[in-house]
Amino acid sequence: MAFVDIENLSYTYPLGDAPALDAVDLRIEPGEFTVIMGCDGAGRSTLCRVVAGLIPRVFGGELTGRVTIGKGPDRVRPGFVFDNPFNQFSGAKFTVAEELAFGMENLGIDRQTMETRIEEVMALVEIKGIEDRDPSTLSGGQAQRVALASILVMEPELLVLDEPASQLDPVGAREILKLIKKVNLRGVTIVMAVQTMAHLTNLADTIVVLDQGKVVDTGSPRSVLTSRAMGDYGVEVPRVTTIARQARTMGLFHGDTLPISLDGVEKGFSNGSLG
Amino acid sequence: MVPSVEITSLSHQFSGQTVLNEVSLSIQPGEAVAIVGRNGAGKTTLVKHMNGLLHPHKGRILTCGLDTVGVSVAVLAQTVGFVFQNPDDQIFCRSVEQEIAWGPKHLGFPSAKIKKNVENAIAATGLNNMEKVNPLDLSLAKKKMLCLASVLAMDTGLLVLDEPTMGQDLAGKQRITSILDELKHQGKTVVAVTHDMDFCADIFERILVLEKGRLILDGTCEQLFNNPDFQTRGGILPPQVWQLGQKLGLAPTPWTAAQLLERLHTNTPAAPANRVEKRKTP
Ligand SMILES: Nc1ncnc2c1ncn2[C@@H]1O[C@H](COP(=O)(O)OP(=O)(O)OP(=O)(O)O)[C@@H](O)[C@H]1O
Ligand SMILES: [Mg+2]
Repeated sequence: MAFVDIENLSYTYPLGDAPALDAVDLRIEPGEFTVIMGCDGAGRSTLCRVVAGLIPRVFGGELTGRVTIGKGPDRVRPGFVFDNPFNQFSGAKFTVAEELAFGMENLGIDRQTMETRIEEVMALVEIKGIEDRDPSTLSGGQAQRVALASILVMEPELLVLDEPASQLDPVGAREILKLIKKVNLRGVTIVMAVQTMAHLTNLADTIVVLDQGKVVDTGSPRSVLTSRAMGDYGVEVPRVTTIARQARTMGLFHGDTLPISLDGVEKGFSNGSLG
Repeated sequence: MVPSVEITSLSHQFSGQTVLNEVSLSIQPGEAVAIVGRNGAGKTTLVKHMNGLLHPHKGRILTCGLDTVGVSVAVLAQTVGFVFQNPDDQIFCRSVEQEIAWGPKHLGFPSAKIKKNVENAIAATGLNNMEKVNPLDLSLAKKKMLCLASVLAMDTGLLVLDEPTMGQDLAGKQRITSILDELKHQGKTVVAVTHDMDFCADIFERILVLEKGRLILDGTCEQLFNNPDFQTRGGILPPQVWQLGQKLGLAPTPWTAAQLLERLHTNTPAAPANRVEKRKTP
């Protein structure tokens, strides 16, 4: 049985006049890494909130269709990383270290384990040295790292992330996405909404594309990102892909398939085969 | 001409920790300058000095000739528009329209001008049909767009934008790029903090790299993308176009898709003269 099983789901926010999600079907197997793409307003954050169990519980509104999260009778506790990290913080804690402990305290985890995990995760997301800081005074990128850390310490089986790297410096973003992949390889199921796939093409198993609340494409990164329709949905594909497509029409690209990353990309271009 | 920003040996500390260290730079009217660097490098702290939200602990900053220490944020707002990194720190009105009108109203613009500026800002940022929406109900990307609209409506000569493309989709990024092109065309000064290297390459002729509160590069995109040391220290990866150009051995390395295709075209076998020339390049 699928880990996330969504069938014919439609949802409208309490004050919304159009459905944010419209007849969505989505099946995610345990351990799968799924990326959700689509333009602003397509429903990416909403789908994340559904998978994280926040809709309709927290946001209200009306949901129709079937949503099952977890295997069989086991309930899972999804971890959810917000798009604005400052909204993630409890507001009740005075330091980063306390903020990281907060979720674990609620799970009844013993102090020794808590301390080990905080130590480990702070090293992984590179925020050592700010444990005594007030979370509300962190820089945007530091806050985004702490928000991710506060979920990772709880070791969820299902990790839902809404634009987790939007405020990270480019090298930091690449490192954090690698870290998320590492977590995934340990068996954690990942659902992540992103705007761009430039550094991500080898991370995800599946990309789901939303447009006006509907799933309009699902498939491997290669099949989705090289599909012509992405332009119509306003989805940002890697620049190498659009350049190769243009180069092909100019007779300057001869590869069989369009590239989605820079790996081995020079082979298909006429210039590269010369030099 | 009076520089838009003139910073001399500026240092800033938070709880005894030095966050900006002896930064000096000068930005002339009409320049477009990007500020990049790793998370926590001090970018936001630096730009918050430009509109007087923060004052230097050492050194001095003049914004459009005004020493920010002697002047209130409200007075500085007549010359500098500021977009916060976190839109929730900026937005406080109950509708999109009110939010955008707040700035020009408090600058004392006549009502006809307020109306016109608000309309133009809404059109430029694509917030049409959302005038009555409560900003709290907007997505993060739209909130960010609203903050930009509010600053556009104030029609200041200097715009300071902290991560304007954050969370934007492709259309949003293109929109912001053309807004900034237009501002440059009007001769306005634009300073933007960003992590988006495509955006840098598309818009900014000058780039400042901060590392742990120090200014380590004040130069061009080309200087930055050609120098691995600055990239490591600034946490930067060059745009994909640039990396592709390097893999294809194109020189000088292109940084826009159009440049790359053009150079690729002149280097193809159909143009034998260029082919010989190409062999000489590494
Ligand atoms: N109010 C404050 N109290 C203590 N430290 C602070 C405060 N505000 C910022 N800092 C610290 O100053 C340093 C610089 O912060 P700043 O926000 O300028 O970084 P930044 O370069 O904008 O980073 P980012 O890319 O993450 O936005 C960081 O280490 C930050 O945690
Ligand atoms: Mg910042």
